[in-house]
Amino acid sequence: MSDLFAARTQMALSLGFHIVFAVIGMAMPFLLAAAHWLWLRRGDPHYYQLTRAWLRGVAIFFATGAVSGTVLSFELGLLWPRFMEHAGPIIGMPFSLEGAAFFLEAIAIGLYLYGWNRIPPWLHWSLTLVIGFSGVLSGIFVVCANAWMNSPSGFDWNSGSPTNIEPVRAMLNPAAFSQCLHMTLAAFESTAFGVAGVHAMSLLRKPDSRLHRSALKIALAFAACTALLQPLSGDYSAKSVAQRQPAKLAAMESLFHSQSGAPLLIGGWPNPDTGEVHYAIEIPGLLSFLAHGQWDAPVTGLDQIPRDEWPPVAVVHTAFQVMVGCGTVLAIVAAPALWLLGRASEALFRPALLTAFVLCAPLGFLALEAGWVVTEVGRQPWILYGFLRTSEAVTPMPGLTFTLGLYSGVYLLLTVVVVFLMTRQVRSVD
Amino acid sequence: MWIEGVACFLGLSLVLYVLLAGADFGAGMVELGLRRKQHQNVVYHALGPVWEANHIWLILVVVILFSAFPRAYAEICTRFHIPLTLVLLGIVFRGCAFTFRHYDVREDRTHTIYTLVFEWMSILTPFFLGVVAGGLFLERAGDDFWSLYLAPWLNPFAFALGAFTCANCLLLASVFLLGETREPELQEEYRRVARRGLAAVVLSGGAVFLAAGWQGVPLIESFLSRPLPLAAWAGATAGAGFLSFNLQPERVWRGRLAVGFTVLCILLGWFGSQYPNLVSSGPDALTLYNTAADEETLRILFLCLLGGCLLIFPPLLYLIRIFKAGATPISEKA
Repeated sequence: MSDLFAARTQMALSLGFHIVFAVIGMAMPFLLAAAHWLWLRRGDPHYYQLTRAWLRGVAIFFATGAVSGTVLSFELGLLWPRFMEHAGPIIGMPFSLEGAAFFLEAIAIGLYLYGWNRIPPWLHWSLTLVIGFSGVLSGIFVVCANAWMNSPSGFDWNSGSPTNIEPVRAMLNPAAFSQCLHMTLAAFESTAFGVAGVHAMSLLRKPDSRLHRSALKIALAFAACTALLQPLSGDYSAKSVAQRQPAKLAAMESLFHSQSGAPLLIGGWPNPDTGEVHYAIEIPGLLSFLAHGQWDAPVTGLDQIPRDEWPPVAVVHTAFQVMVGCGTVLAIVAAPALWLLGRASEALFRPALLTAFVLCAPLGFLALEAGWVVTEVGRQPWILYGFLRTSEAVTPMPGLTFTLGLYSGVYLLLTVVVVFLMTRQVRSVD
Repeated sequence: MWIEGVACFLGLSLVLYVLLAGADFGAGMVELGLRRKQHQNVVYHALGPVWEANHIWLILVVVILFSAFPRAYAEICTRFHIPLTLVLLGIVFRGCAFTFRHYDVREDRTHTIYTLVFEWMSILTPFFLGVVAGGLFLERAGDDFWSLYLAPWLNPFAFALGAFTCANCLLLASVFLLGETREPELQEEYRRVARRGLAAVVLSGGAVFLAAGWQGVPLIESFLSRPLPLAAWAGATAGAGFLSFNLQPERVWRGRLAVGFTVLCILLGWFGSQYPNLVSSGPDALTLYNTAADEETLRILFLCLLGGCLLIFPPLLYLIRIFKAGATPISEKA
């Protein structure tokens, strides 16, 4: 394994691990806010028990997210020092702001946990919103920095290094809005479906539990709304990518040949050497329509991209199909769920639907990881799109296969321990 | 001017990290030495609400470095890749072990594992942070893997500084924990550890200077030739002396101020003796000035940091006030 590939894999593992904890940290405070609010308003003890049960999970996930985030902030330099040397001053601002938001969040969590009987009840409740909004802001700032890598702006590039740096323009780059919107919705969608699935599983065993019924309803409210909005956000993102990163769109769609009236592919296995896609279902003209708004619009294919600038087509295409597939399933489940929620119907708790919720639980997270593969692998071979290649940015230190092995072991171990803890936690609630 | 301003924030962040996270790490070391259930409770109650926030000072150091002094950041990350990896391992395992231990629903043999991990990782991270700090003083010569990636930190001077860092953490923690408990038995144990911590600081500090002399690092010269490090040295000695007479639970705040002042002086001595060098010394040194980003970036960063302080410190102080009023965390209640 080459050192570059080891570095890329290590970064991917670290990001893939961190993102799960980060999104749970972003979304759960809002679910907590709902449960806690219901307790304050209605006084039923099961809302209090639900709040406490969720709180334990949040603490565990937040701590793991915080330490894995610390790892990432170092890995930016440990793995990509030659990138950070140039990019550091340009994206320093969103990272500083992210740090401030995270700090505020950590303080709010401390206050929430320790101030239970020391702070007036409604002020104490409002802390859940502080935790939530600072968490979401934190995520937005980081995604702005990533968006800048996809849509570089706010600097001039003179003979290999940036000048005339404008940090604000860099942060508010053309990709920022679409990426932040899509990511924030994804955070809520994946977390909410995950939580819904856990409680649905408990309800299959204990159908009369008020705690699990309320938990499922709260989680589904968030899950269903976001699952129906996400395809709209995805469409907006794809249109943005079509404008700014045609190579990425071409790889996502395995479009080897530029054409007007380009078809949308469902499934399919691309062969970059022959330029063919096998086993795909083609919908004529749909890609042109979705990407550019007209059925006969020309779409750039990989044939217009120099061969050494092609992203790994099979990986990007497959990840894209997985993401859209999962998102579609979740949207299909979301529609009736939202309808039944709105009517406060008992049908929501029928075993068939509960089983569906259980099966949907991992899909949001699968879509999340697949989506990040699309955007990150789809940007290759660039680390800074169009300016700096990933291979030019990697650390000169050899032996990265070893550190990859080390971190892989760490993440595997932590995953096992967290699953073990959460299993014990869920069992104890019952 | 902006360079100095940002450098002040860098220094401030580093000071806060050493004082706060140092006490945090030291608490784990104290546990290792004293191994009792009551200690774990004292430690959790002392650290519980603030330890999440302690990471931020380190992250802030990293962010300021890569935003304002990117070449120095890149060089540090390349040269010290291996010890920094060990630091990270310590941070990850320690943080997780601490939280898992407290929030796991059942108390059984897994708690022994969490505790072991927490205690040993509490030594690993500050030790290798100290090693990296020591490595920053040193020159680098050679093109092979040893000279580039191992020799800069795998030497007696850097290791002595690692030990010195651990000793300081132990001292900070034991003095801090002394004021966190009302039980006379525990108080007496913390006093004993604090005295040993003080001795460890003095001895390991001496070892640092000895190793410096042996390796040809002009450490003593840089301390003696400049007013700030010399004053800092005197201040640290005075602080340590004052501390040794104020290790009583009735004089909690005198002890805490004394230990904070002592460690602050030690850090100021470091900054003063190295200024303006960030990495290495001599003509090839990477300094604050030759690695700085452009003025506009520095100005915006400085204003962001200032704004951040104004935004953050009030809630932080509120948290400490609420917490110190004797609140019990929600997880303790029935």
